[in-house]
Amino acid sequence: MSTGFLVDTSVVSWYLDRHAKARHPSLVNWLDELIPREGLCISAVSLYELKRGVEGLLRQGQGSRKAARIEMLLREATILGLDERGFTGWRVAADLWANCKHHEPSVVLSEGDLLIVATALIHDRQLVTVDSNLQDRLRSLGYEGLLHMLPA
Amino acid sequence: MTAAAKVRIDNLTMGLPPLSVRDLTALVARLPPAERAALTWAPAAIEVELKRLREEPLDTDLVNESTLAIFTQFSKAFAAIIHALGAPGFLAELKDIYRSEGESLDRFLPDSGARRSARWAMRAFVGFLDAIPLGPEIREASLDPGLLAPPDLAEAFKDDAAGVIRAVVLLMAAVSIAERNGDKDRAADLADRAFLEASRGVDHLARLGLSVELEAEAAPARPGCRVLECVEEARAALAPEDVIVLVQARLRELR
Repeated sequence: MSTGFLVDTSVVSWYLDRHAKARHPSLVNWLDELIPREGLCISAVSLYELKRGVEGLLRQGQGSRKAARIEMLLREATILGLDERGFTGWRVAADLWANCKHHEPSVVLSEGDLLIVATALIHDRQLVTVDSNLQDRLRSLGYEGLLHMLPA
Repeated sequence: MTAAAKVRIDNLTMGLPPLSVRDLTALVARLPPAERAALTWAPAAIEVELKRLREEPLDTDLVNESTLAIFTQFSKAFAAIIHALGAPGFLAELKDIYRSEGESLDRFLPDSGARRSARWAMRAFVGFLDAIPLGPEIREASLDPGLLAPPDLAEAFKDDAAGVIRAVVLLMAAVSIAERNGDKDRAADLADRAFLEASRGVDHLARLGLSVELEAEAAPARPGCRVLECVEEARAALAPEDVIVLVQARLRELR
């Protein structure tokens, strides 16, 4: 039984859009309900990806304000990695990679997605993603139960 | 912690700035006349640098230069103050000063995001004070003028490990704007920059083996309420094209 949710990077990016409430109302409502109860739980990979985004903004000369807001959110989020329990998460990620490669037909996950999925698996959390390609690929691998389907 | 890391951290602990020229002036006023007379220059010298931080383009070079200049002045003042007052509770008193200045800044800053930034940077600095080895040897070192400006001090203040010190200097400049009821946006910019510097500093110190525990904040009614507030503040700051930058920064392949 799942112990909670892991929110992927694309969901965080959508959620931070100032027009998010109009563009993705069901996503925003669901997260607005979830977060006060459980906080925001993301993968260390998402931390890395969002920090890359922060550096991108700073190098565009966007000033400190935007970078500070994202950095503060990351400081308040719960970050889960693959190193816990004797680095078991990395073994799970390697198994997942092998499953993808030897599946008929083979399934391609980006390295980032693969590591986020492995993080959800090792921490027994449902993955919240808006990436329909990732959802389809996980279903074809038999990981449908890992996905949390957001209300339409 | 390695010996090299300890030296780098010790270099940062020979002077501890109060947050405003007013506070420094008040501290100097408590000194015996001879020491007091020797430090009458200090507030004016520090104000020169704060004015630069209030008015000049806020780039990395300015922050590094002003931090070094202010730290050097405060080191001299701090040595005399510790020597003259020498009270064991002096650092606790200093923390009260920081908190009081922080509250004033909190009332002045124009938006909740900047206020959160300033509070975080302040909590990091107080946590830094709790974490550093402010033993007698450090205080003795602070009394040795030869140690106040080692040749590599300028480099030390560019280091990520000095992020917490740069943050305090930036907060000093923000406080000085608040005291003048000046430009709120500039004060907010300084507060955000202070947070980013403190954040980088805390992370770097952890890698050196010095764990800086932030002062606890009052717990929110529900655990994730602060996250939601941060989301709202981020939304207010980010333009749609910034979200595209975040999406484009996603990890595709490791090689």
